[in-house]
Amino acid sequence: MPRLEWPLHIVRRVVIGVIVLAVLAVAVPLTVNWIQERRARCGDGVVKMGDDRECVGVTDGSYTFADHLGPVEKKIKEENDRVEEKGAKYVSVAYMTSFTLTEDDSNSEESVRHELEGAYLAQHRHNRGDLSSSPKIKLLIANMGSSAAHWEHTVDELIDRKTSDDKLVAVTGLGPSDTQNLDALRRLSGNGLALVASTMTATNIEGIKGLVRVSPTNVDEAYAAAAYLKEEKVRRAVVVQDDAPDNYYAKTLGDAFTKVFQDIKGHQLVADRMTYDSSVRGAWENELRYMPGQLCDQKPEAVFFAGRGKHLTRFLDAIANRPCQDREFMVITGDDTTNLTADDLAHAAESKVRVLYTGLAHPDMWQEDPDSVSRPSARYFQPGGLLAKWFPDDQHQDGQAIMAHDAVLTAAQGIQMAALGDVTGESVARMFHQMNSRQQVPGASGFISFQNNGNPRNKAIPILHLNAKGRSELVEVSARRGEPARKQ
Amino acid sequence: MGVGLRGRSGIISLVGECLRLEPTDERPVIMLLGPRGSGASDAHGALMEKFGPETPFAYVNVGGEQSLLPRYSLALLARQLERKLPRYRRSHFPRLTLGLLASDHQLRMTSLAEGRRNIRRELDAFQEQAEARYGDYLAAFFEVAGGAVGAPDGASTAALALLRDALRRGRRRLPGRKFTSSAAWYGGHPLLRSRDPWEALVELNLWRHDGDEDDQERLDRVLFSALLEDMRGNVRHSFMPRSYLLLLDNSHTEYGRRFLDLLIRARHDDAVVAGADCDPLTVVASSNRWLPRWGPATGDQWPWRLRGPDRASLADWSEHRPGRDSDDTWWYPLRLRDLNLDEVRIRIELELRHHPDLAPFTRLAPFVHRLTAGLPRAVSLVLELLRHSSVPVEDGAEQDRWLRTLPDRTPREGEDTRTLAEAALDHLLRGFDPARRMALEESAAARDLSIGTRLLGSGDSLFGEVRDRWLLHSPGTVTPALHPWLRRLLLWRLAGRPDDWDAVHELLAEHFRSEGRPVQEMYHRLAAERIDEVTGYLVERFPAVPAAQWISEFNTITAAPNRLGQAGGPLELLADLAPDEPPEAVTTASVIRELITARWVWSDPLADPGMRLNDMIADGFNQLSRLRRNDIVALFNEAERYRHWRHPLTRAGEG
Repeated sequence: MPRLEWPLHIVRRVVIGVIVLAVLAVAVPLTVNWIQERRARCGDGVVKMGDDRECVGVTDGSYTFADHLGPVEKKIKEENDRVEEKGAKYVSVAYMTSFTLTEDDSNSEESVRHELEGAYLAQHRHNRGDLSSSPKIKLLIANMGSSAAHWEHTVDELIDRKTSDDKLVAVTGLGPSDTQNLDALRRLSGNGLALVASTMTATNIEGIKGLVRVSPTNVDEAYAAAAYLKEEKVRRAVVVQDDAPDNYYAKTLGDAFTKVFQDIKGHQLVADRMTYDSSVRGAWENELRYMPGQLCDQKPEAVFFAGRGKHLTRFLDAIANRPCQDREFMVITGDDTTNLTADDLAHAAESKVRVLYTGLAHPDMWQEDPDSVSRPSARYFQPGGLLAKWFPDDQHQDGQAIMAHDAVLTAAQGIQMAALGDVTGESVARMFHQMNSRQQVPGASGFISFQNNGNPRNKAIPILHLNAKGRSELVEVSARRGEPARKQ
Repeated sequence: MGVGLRGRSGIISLVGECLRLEPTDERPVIMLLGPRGSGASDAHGALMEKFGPETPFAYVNVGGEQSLLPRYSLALLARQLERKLPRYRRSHFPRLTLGLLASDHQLRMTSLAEGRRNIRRELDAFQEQAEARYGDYLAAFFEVAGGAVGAPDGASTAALALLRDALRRGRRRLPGRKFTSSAAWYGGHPLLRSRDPWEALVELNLWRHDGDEDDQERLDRVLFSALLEDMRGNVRHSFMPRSYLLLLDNSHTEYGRRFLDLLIRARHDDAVVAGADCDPLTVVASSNRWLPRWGPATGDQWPWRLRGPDRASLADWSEHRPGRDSDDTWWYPLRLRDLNLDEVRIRIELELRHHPDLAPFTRLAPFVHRLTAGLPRAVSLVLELLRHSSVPVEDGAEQDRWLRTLPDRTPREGEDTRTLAEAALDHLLRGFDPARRMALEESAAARDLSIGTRLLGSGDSLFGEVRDRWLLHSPGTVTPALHPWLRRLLLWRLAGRPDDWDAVHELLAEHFRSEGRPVQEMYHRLAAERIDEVTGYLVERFPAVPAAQWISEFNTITAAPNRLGQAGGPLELLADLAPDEPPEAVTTASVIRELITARWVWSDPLADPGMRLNDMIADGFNQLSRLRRNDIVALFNEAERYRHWRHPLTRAGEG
C-alpha cells in the first residue's frame, strides 16, 4: 500500500469536518423537521394547518379546539381517561365536524358546542348511565377545520386510529351537507368505519356503505313544511334558494318543496324560484337585499327559504325593510336555522316576520307528542335535566345536542349489538340495519330505525316557530308521512 | 535563517534535501568541521529552528562533562523522536526500547533455560516499575543523562522552545502495552547466536552484565541496528515522516566518536552488507577535531577532501563520495568557513533587532572582521563586549584609543572577570595546559606555525594538536598559519612578555637570515621594532627590484606584529615611532621609513581600528613614485588603493 504523506492534522481536520458535515446533513433536516413538527403541533394528534394555522385533527379531549369547548372537552377527557384506567374492553367513537369556525361556516360555535355536549351525554349514558353496556366507548373529537378545509388530514388521522390503541370503529357527527364532508364520508366509508351523520339532511347523501343518519332528509323536511303550510291554508308561496354549487342542503330542500307544495290544486308557487349564490362572496348579501321588492310584487303568503340559517338572518333583515310594510309575510325554512345562535335568532325575531322552520329535534317534542320520542332520552334535555346540570349556562332549544346525542347513541347501540362478535367498523355498520322493532334506537329526537339507504325511517320532524324573544317554540310534531315513528 | 547560520545556507538546503528524500534513499552523515567557535552549535540551533517544527528531531550533545554511553544517547534520541508532531503520527521505537530494557537490569537466573522462562515476566515487571516511576521507560534515561540534551550554544529562543517541547512531549504509554511484543526481531539478528527471541534477549543481558569489551560493543551494535530498524518500520507507514533528523553536537569526544562509529557501522551493515533499505536518519554531527578513524590529520589517506558549506548538496555528495563498499561512503565532511565582511555586517544588523544598543557600532563591521577574521564566536564575543562596555560611541580618536586595548577588556560584568583575550583563548584552546599554551604563544610569532613549533622546541605534537583542532587558517594552503584571531590573541599575550617577544622574534629573524629569506627575517626584525634595519633593507631594495615586487615585500614585512604601547590612537603610536632626529630633507629613506611605520601600525586593527593612516600611506607611496624615475605605476596604484580603501571580503591578512 502506498504511503500517504498528507499532513495528518489536515487530514484529521478534513475527516472530522466531513463527519461533522455528514452528521449535520442528517441532523439538520431531522432537527428542522422536528422543530417544524413541534411548531406545527397543537397537541397529540392535532396539528396546525393552512394559512390560518388552524389546529385540526383528532383529540381525546386533551387538546381544546376552542375555549368555549373547554368544559365539555374536559368532561370527555375525564371519561376517556376513566375508560382507559378501568381496563375494561373499549372501542372509540369519534365525533367529527368543524369545531374551529369562521364566518364562512354555516354552523355557529353554540351549535357545535351543543353537538359535543349531546355526544358526551350519549357516551356517559353508554359507559355508566342508564344504557350502560360493554364494550365501553372512548369519544374522540375530530376537527376538520373551518369549512372542513382540512378534512383529509383529520380523516387520515381517524383512519390511523382504527389500528391504534383507540380502536376506532365509528365516526359520528360528520358536519353539514357540504362537498368536503361528502368526500370525507366516502374516504371513511372506504376504510370500513361505521358512520352516523347527526345533522346531515341533504337527500342525495345516501347509499354510502356503513353510513346512516339520524336526521330526516331535506325532502322529509320540505314535505313536512309543505304539509304544515297546507294545513294552515297557505295557497301562495315562493321559493328563495341558495344556488351555491356545493350546497346540497338548499338544493334538495328547494326541489322537494317545489315538487310537493303544488301537488294539490289551489296551492301554487307564484313566481320562479328566486336564487342567490352564497359562494360568491360579497354578492349574495346584495342579492338578498333586492328580493323583498320582488316579493312585494308577487304577494306570496309564505316564503320557503331554502338556504343556510345564517343567510336567513340577512334575508329577514332585508324583508324587514321591504317596500310593502303593510304586507305580512310568513317565512318557513329548514333545520339549518337551528345552527343560529341565540343572538342571531333574537335579531331575526326583530324583523317582525313570522318565521317557521322544520327542526331536527326539539326538547318540547316529548311534551307535545310523548310517544314520538324516547322518554328516558328526552328527559336529559328537559330543563333541570342532566345536560342542564352539567352545562347550566347553555340553552339547548336548537336540538343540535339531541341530534348529536342520538348519533352517538346509535353508534353505541351498534357497538353493543356487534359485541357478540368482533367489534369492527364493518360489524358495527351492519348492526345499523338490524335496528328494527325492539332494536330501535331510543333517540331523544325520535325512535330511530334505518332504511337500506341509511335514511331514518319516518323520522319525527318538529315544526318550530321563532318567537319574538328569538326562542324557538314547538308548533307541531310532524313527519314525512305526517305521523312519526312510535316506540315498538 | 537564524543569525547563527548566516553564511551557511548550503547546510540548510542540504539538510532540507535529505529530509525530503524517499525514506529508503541513502543519506550522508553530514559532518560540520571547524575549530571551536566556528558556528557548528549555531548551525544545530538554526537547523532545529528551521526543521524542528515540522520534522521529528533529536539534539544530543556528546561533548558535555558527562560521558554519555551509546545506550544513553540512543534512549535520549528515541525519546525526542517520539515527539508527536501535528502533521505526523507518533513514532515508536519498540525494538530499541526492548533491547535497552533487556540489557538494563541483570536478570536473576541460574541457567539460560531459566532465564528464557523468566525473561518475559521480568522485562514486563521492569517496564511497569519504570513506567510507574517515570511515566515511560525512556523517560528514565533523562534522570541519568538529561544533561546531555541541553541546548546548543547560542540557540535562539525559538530553538530552545522547540527543544523543550521535544522533551516535554514525550510519550505517556497506554498501560498494558508491553515492549516484549517486538522480541521476534532479536531472534533473527545476525549478531546474536540464538534464533529464539527470548534467548536472544537473555544473551543481550549477559553481554551487558557478564560480557567483555567485545560483547559490550556487540550489544551496542545490536541496539543501533534496532534503532535503525525501528525507523525503517516507522516510515513505511502512512502519515509518518520521510526522515528523522539527528543533531549530534561535539561528536569528536570519545563517546561521540563511538556513537558515530556505531551508527556508520550499523548503517553500512544494513544497507551495504545485508542489502536492506537504507535507514531514514539524517545526521548532522559537528566536530572540532579531526577524527582518528579518518587516518592522519594531513588527510592524505582519507578518500574525502573537505567540502565547503556554501555549495553543499546531495548532488555534490553523490559526486564526491567514495565507492559504496567503504564505510567512508557515508561521510559528508563540510569545513565551516569564517564569515566574510558582508556576513559580519549582516550579523551585526540582525543582532540590532535584539540589541538596539549596538546601533552605533554598525560602522565597526570592518574592524570586527579584521580583528576576528570572521570566526563566528569571536565576532559574537566582540559584539557582546561592545554592547556591555562604555566604549565611546562617537567615531574618532577616543574610540580608537578605547579599542586599542580591546583584548584586555572584560566582556561581562559579574563573576567572569576574564579579559576578552583570556576568555577567547580559553575557549579556543580548551584542554591546553598552561605550558603548552605558553609554548603556542611563542610559536605563534612565526607566520608558519610548523617553523615556530620546530624552532621553539615545542615539537610536532603541538603542531599536530593545533591541526587536529582545525586551528590552522586556510587548510590546504602552503603556509600552515594559525587562525588570525587565535594568532592575534596569542601574540597579544606574548606582547605582555617583552623579553620573550624580542627573543622569539630575534630567534626567528636569525633563522630566516640563515635560511636566506630576508623578507621573513625583516618581518621579525620589524616585530622586534628594529625599524632602522628594516628601513635600510627596503631602501636598498627599492631601486634594485621592480616596484611591484618591492611593494609585495614591503607588505609582507609591515604585516609584522607589534608590541607597541597600549595607550594612544594610531597617530600617537606613529609619533612614538618617529626617528629621534627628523631628517632635514625628504629622502627615499625618510619616506620609506615613514611608510614602514605607518603601514606597520595600520596593519594592526587594534592599533588603527578606523584605518586612519590610509591617507598617510597613500601620500607615502605618492612621494615614493616621485622619487623613482621609472616603474612608478605600481606605486601610484598602491597610493590609489589606500586612498580609496575598500575592505577585502575575506582576506584578513592585510588591513
